[in-house]
Amino acid sequence: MTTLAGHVPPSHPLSPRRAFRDLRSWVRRGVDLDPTSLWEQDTAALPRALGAYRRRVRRFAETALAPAALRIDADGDHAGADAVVRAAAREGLYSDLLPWPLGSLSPALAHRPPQWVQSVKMEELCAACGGLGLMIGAHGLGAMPILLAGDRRLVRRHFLPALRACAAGEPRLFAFAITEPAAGSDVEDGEGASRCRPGTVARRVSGGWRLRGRKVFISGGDLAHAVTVFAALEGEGMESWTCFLVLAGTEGFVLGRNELKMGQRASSATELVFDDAFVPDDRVVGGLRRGWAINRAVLDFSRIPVGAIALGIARGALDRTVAFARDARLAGRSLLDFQDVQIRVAQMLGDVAAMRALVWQSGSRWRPNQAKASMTKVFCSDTAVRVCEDAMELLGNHAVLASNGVEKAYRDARLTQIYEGTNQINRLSAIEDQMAHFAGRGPYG
Amino acid sequence: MTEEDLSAILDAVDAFVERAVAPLSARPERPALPKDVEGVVAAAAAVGLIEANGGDEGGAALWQDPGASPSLRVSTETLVSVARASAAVAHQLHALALGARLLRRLGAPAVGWTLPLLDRAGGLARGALAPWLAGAAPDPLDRDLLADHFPHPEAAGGPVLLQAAEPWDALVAPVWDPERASIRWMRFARADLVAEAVEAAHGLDESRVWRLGRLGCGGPIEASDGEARAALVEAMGLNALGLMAIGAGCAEGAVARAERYARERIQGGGPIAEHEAVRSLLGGARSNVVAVRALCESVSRAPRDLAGLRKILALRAVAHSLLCRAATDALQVFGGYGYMRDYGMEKALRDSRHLRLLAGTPADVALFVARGESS
Repeated sequence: MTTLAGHVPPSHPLSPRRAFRDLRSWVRRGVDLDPTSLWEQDTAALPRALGAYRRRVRRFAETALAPAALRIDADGDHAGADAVVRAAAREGLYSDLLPWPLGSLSPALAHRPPQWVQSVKMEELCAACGGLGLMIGAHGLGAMPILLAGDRRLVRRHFLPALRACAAGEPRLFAFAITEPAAGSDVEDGEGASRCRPGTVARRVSGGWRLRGRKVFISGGDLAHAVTVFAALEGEGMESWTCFLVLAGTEGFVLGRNELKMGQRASSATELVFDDAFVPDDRVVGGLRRGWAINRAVLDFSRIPVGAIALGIARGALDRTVAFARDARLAGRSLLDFQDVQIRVAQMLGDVAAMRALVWQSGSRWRPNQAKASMTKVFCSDTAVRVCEDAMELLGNHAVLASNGVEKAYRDARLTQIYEGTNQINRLSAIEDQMAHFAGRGPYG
Repeated sequence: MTEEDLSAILDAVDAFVERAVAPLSARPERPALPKDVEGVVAAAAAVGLIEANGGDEGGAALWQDPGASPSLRVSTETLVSVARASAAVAHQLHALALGARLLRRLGAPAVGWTLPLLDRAGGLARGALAPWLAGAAPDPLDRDLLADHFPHPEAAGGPVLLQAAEPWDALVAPVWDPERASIRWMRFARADLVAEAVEAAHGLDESRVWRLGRLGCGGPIEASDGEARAALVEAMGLNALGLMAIGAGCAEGAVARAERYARERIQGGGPIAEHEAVRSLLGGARSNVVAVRALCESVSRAPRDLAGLRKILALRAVAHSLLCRAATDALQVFGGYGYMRDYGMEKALRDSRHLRLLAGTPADVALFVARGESS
C-alpha cells in the first residue's frame, strides 16, 4: 500500500515530489525529494558515528527486546529478562559509558556529549520495550556518581573492571539509590531536603561507616553488583548527604521486596535494606558531604535520557498504531484510509518529532543545564503519555488487549511522569534554576 | 419517589457495597477473579439491586424503570457507589441489568443472566449509525460500515470483543440484515458460542475480555423495525450513561484516596496537601468528578430518539476525558507509590482508561455527534 485514500499517488503530477522534479536543477537541491521515513532522515542528520550507533541499537532492540517484551511484562519471565541482560552486555550496551579501549563506545563518539549518545540509545531500546530499556539504562545511572565525583581510584578499582566484565558478556551492574520510604520528592528538591529528616544514616566506625536505613523503588537494585547509596552522616541533616559505594553481598545489606508496578515491569523497583552495613572509607564516592551536589548533577545528566525513554515509548506506540491501522479493515478499507485516522496519526507524528528535537537539542550540550534537563523530562513524559493515549484511542476497544502493545506503552510511559522526580518537582526545578533571571527586570518590566 | 426514598435506597446501596463489594478490592495488587464477582451478583439479586428478568416497571433495581427520572437516578448513583469499590463489578451489574432491560423491552422472556452485545468492535460505525437511526437509507459506504459494526453470527469481519465477568448465560445482540438494511435482535446461548478469554487486558481486572468467534444459530426476537431501532437507541443511551456513572465512581474513589493520602504524607516539612502543586492536582481532579456527576444527573430519562441518544453520547465524550484526567492526577499525588499496584491508584487509572474505550471512544462519539447533527 503506497497510496492512502484522500491523497494523489506519488506519481501524480499534483504530488509535491513529482511536481518538484520539474523545478530547475539548482532549485531541486533546496526542496525535499527524499521519500525516506522521518526516522531515516533524522538518523542521516546525526553525526555519522552517532547515526551508525542509532541503527545498531535499533537492530538490537528489534531482535532482542521486542520479541520478549510482552511476555516479560505479563508474567515477569525472569529467565527471559536475564537473557536480554546478557545479550545487551555482549552488545556493549552496558559498557558504552566510556570509549574504547576503556569501554565499548566507538572512539568517534567520545567527542559527543554522553547524555546525547545515551539518549539516542534509550529511544531505540524503549521503542521496543520501556521496561527492558530501563533495565539496561539504569546501570548507567548507578555508575554516574562515580564518574561525576571524578574519583579516579574508584573508577580504576570498581568501574573499569565492571565495564570490562560487561563487555565480555558477564554483566556487573550498578544501581542508584536515593529514594527513601519517607522521602521521594525531598531527595530531589533543595527546599524539601532542607526540611527533611534523613532516613538512611551513616555512622562513623573504625575504618569506615555503617549504613542504616532503607531505600525504595531502586531500578535494577536486585541485579546490581554495586549500589551508589546516598546517606546523611549521623547527627547531621541532608547537607551532609554522602554517596557510598555498597557492594552486593556486604554484610547487613539485603534486598527487600521487588515492587509490583503498573508498567516498565521488566525492570525491577527494589527495596534495599541497610542494617549496619559496613562501607570502608575508600568507598566513599567523591568525599564526605558531597552527596547532594553529586545527586543533583546526576539528575541533570539523567533527566535528558529519561525524556528519551518517554520519546522511545511514544515512538513505539506510534509504530504499533500505524501497523494496526494499516492492517485493520473496516467497510473494506484500511483504517488508515480514513481521514480522521490520518489526522490523528499525523498529530502523533508531530508530537514524537517535537520530543526528539528537544531531547537531541538538550542532549547535545556538553554541560547539561538544570532547567533544560527538567523541561525536557517534563515535556517528553507528558507528551509521551498523550501520544500513548492517542494510540489507545485509535485502536478503540482493541487497545485494551495487551497483545496489541499500546496499553503497555501507556503503562510504561506513565512512569516517566513520576521517576527522576515527579513532573511537579521538575517544574519547580526549572524555576529554581531560572529564578535569578525571573527576579530581575527584563525588557517588559 | 421522594428525595427521602432516594436517599434511603442509596444508603442501602452503600451498605451493600461496603459488605459485598469492598472486600473484593481490598488487595488491588491481587484482584478478585471473575468467578468471585458471581457471588456479588447473587447478593445483589438477593437484595433486589438487580433483576434477572428485568422486573416490573416502577421498581428500583438497576435500569428497571429507565423512563422515569428518580429511577434513572437510582441506577446511576448505584453504579457510582459500586464503582467506587470496583469498576469491574459495577460494569458486570450494569451489563446484566441492561441485558434484562432489553429482553423485557423486546418482550422476550429471560433465561438466565443475559448480557447485551451492542456492537462488534466499538467505533459507532464511524458515525454511520446516526443517520441510519434517524431513518435515512444508508449509502454504500455507510451500509458497509453498519454491516461491520454489528455482531455477525458467523464471525464475519473478525472476532467480537465482549467485556464480562461472571455470571452470564446468554447474549442479546442486534444483527445486521443486509437485505432490509436494518437490524434484527437475536439471543445467543453461551453454550453455543465460540469464546476465548483474553489473557491480559488493560483494566477491569476482575472481569475478562472475551474474543467471540461464531455466535451460533441464535434465537430471533420478534420486533418491528421501528421497535428494534428504538430498543437499540435506548440500550446505547443507557450503556453510555452507565459507563459514565461507573467511570465517575471509579475516579471519585481514586480522588478520595488521594485526598486522604495528601493529608498524611509528609514532604517538604509538612503534609503534601499544603503544597499548591498538590492542591492544584486535587482540586482539578475533584472538580472533574463533580462535573461528571452533574452530567449524569442532567439525564432525566432514557433516550427515545436520536436527539436524546446524541445528547448522552456527547456528554460521555467529555466525561471520560475529565475522569481519566482526574484518575491520573490522583495517582500523581501519590508519587512513586501511586505507580505501585498495592495502592490501587494505578488500577483506578487503568480502569478509567479501559472504560473510556468501550462502546465508542470520545473520537468515535465525536463522529456520531457530528453526523447526528446533519441527520
